[in-house]
Amino acid sequence: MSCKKSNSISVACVLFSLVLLSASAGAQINSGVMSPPANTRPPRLENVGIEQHLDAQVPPDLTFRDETGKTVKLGDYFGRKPLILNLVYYNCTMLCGEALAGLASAMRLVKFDVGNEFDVITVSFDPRETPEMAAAKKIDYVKRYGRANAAAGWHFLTGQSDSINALTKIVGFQYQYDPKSNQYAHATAIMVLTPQGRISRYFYGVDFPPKDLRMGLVEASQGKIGNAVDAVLLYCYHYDPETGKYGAMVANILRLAAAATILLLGGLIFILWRLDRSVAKKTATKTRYAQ
Amino acid sequence: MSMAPNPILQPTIPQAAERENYLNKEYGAWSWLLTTDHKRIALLYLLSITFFFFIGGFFALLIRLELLTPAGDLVQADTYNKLFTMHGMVMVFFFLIPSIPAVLGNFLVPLMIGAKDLAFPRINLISWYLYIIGGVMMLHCMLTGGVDTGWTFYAPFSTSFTNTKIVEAGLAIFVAGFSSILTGLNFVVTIHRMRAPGMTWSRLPLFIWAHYATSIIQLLGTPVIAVTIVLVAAERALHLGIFDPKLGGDPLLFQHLFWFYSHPAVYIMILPSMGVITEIIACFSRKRIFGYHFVAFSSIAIAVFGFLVWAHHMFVAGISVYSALVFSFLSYAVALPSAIKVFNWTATLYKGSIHYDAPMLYAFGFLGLFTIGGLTGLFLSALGIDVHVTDTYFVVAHFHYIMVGGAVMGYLGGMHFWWPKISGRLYPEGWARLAALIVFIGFNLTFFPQFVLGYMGMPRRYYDYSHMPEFQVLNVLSTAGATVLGVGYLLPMIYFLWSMRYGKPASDNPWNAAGLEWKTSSPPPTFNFDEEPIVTWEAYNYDELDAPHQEEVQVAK
Repeated sequence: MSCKKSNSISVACVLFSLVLLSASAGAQINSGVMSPPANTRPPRLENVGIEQHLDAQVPPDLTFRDETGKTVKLGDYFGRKPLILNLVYYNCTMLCGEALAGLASAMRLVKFDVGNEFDVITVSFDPRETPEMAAAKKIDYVKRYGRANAAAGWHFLTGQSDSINALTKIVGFQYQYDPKSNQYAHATAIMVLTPQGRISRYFYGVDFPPKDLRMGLVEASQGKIGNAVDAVLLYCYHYDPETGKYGAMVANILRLAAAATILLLGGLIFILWRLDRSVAKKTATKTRYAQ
Repeated sequence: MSMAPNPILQPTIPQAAERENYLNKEYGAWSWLLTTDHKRIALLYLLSITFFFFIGGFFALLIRLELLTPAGDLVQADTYNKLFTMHGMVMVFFFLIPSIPAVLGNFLVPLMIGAKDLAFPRINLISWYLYIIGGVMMLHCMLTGGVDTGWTFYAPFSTSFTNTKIVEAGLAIFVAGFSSILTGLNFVVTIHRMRAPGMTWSRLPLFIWAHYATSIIQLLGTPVIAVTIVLVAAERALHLGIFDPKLGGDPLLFQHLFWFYSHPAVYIMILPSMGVITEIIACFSRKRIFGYHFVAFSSIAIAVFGFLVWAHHMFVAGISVYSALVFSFLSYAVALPSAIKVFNWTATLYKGSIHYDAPMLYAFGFLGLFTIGGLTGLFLSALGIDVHVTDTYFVVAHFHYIMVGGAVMGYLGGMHFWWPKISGRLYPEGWARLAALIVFIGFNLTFFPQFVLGYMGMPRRYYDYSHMPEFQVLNVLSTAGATVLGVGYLLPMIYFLWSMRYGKPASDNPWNAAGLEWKTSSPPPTFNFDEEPIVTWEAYNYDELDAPHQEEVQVAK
């Protein structure tokens, strides 16, 4: 028996070292030949991206100019309803138009109205842009959105570079000017702000699932908009900061369910074993009497 | 209480009037459809899983016919996808998982522990009905278009892309899963609460230990596949972002959940088969099983380890190198309890008085095929080799060696071994030995070439390999083997049916085997034993059984 045991131990050792060997071979493949590590980027895009600063306070005293040329503070828009903030520049030929169009069409599919249940602030991060450009864009996209009152709730701002820098830094929006093409390298995302101007959610990309957007607004409103169904849905929805979308809180629900199953099954087997022992005792005494 | 005296080895005893037993007590469809007798329910299961076995086998035959030639000429690509998907789903969920537990287990667990029935006879009947409801849904799904995802349902293909009947197939499996859970629950409670006086845990036949371990896997694992199916349906129907990254889900989560059940599911298939093989080997080598406790606890160890290896199906799916390393190591570890069993069986054979009856031929077949299947499993747990052969015929061959070469050989061996008890008749031994040989040869001819094909790089799930015509020779061999195997599976069905009418009546204990099930009449009465048995002997007391009759045994040999 002992000989067998030591045999199996040595077999296990051999197997284990084989595993190590094959694993290190696998690791080499991963780090070297097959593909570059995912976290290196072309040099021009190194400082571009979005770093989530959830719950950061957007400074209310930053000054911008709205599409009529009036000087406004961001704080003027705070305090009433949840907000969507997006950062674009109006001369952008690529992504920004897509992002604005995506936002407009997503909002069309949400029951809440801009200017009613929530507001939108679109800020240009190119300090050279003017309220006239902003006004032109506003006409475009408010028309595309196509609901009454939207003009009162969707603000297109421009500003000086110090306001822009402060804002983009706070919300984690990193971009870079490329003088060769006279374009900015940037990512797109919209942020949902609470009525007080704290960042509640990020949604990446140019295409925003309306259901997620609705949930984000309900959550940011802290109960001010939405209904009981929304509250129930929120309860089992969980925001996943890695992908910037709502995924059902599957993993957590499953963990709970697994724990419950194991407890139930464990409890059943524990009780059965206890009963077993008491039966065994009884039979033992019975046979003793019989003898 | 003295030990019941054992009669001389007598294959048949002429009986003047047939005794009342569970088969002839009542007649008519309702007496079967509303029965709570575990033996009758076992026969209901036997009929239904045989039906699904032949459906699944028919799909397999079409698959093999398509692969006879390199070009995709028999069926279209999407039909082929549906064929292998339905083959897998039917065979796994409607044949293999219920096979031994629901037929032989149902019949034998109460008999072996000396009980009148299972602990919850009505729940037992409900499980059969759940199985049938699931089966009918699966049939309906097949007839109205089927599913093309492969039996693994991988998301996001299954949730966002395919237009086939995912939800219906999923629901069918969901319902049948509850049948499996209830059977498991029934067995656990029965084994704990219904054992005859004196039937201690260390006197239990190892068949019972194997079923105890299986039941725990069924109870713990099956809910996970149920939840997974619900989540797939939810993502398909409501577009909740669970598995599809486009909706914010995680496709790896699907694979984790799916394999968390589906790997242990392999042990649901193979553990009961190991239990059967243990009984057969002990009986036909006339010896107490070597290392009883090791074999018993290795079943439990397999049940426990089996839950810790699921991610070895995901080595190329993008899990981290470190978790791949751990899962690779654990996959090696699960080979140890299986190896313990194989070594103990071999040690039981050593110096045994071996009889080459049909059940034993299946047991030998099992030993060889399971060992090949298990050892190629080690190839696949090695990360480097796994990368090379992932999704090739090597994997297909490997799991068929376990699931067909292991589980089905055990099932057929068990059917032959206990057929006299089940039907009260003897099957024709010559035909049975021939069938066992045909199955063994046909099986190896079908699946051994697939190891070579896979190693050479033939991918699984392709219906057309015309860019690689050199694969044809091996594919022709494999298809020929499948035909032989088909004959091997048809034969037992024919002669079992034949024997029910024309077979010689069986004595209570035609094998002179140990075990309580042989101490009641064949077929047993409705409540199994005329009086409650009291167990005073150890399991597998073949030395005692054979001792007073040594001359007869030698003559018989």
